[in-house]
Amino acid sequence: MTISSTWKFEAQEILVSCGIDSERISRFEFPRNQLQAPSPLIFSSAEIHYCASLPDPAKGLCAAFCCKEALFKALGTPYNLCDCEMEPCFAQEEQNVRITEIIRTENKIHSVTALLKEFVPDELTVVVYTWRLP
Amino acid sequence: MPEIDLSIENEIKQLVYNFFAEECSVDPEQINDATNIITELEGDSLMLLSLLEIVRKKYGLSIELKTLGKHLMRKPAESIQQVVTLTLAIVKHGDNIINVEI
Repeated sequence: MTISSTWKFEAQEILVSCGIDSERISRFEFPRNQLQAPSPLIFSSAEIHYCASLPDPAKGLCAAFCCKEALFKALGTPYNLCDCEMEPCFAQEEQNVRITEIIRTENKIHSVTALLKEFVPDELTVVVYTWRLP
Repeated sequence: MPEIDLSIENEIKQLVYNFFAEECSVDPEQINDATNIITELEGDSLMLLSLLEIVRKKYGLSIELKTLGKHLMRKPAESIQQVVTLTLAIVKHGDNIINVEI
């Protein structure tokens, strides 16, 4: 007796590239009573507002920056950092990443996902994956 | 964008020197035009972005990171002198830096 079956798998999305970045959290501490503030060249107002509400805003900004740097490495081409947004959730590894249509179109990708880890104290690591539709 | 005269050139040069001295915790006397910001000062992209933000605020500039990034891929800035030249070009040309040979 011969039993055979054919498994058919249809990918939802196809992995295009990945990038990684690590940064020290302490580099993102902005004293609240001084004129320094997170740069609008790097962070969107949504990210700044969200991170300011976190128990550790520096940690939030660090994670968001790592995501942007990791995406730059994955894409291999410069982009305006505010075209990528991440509002980090430290309760889980997988993070939601928003990218603009400009990034999608110019890089022929559909979406971006990120994994966030704190392997050592005061340092965050983000791995970013870019995906395209089949 | 401000007109670049000698006083602004010197101001920008001093700004770059002081920035890296403070960020990298070194005596400004230890930095010269040939100092490599990556191998000798352990500089990175975050430092360059912080410097750009200071310059942007000081001179009221409008520049896109994508434009600057494309310029840097064509012409990397690794020494202090190259960073000074780049900063002067950004102040002088803004987003048009991509079309300028410096």
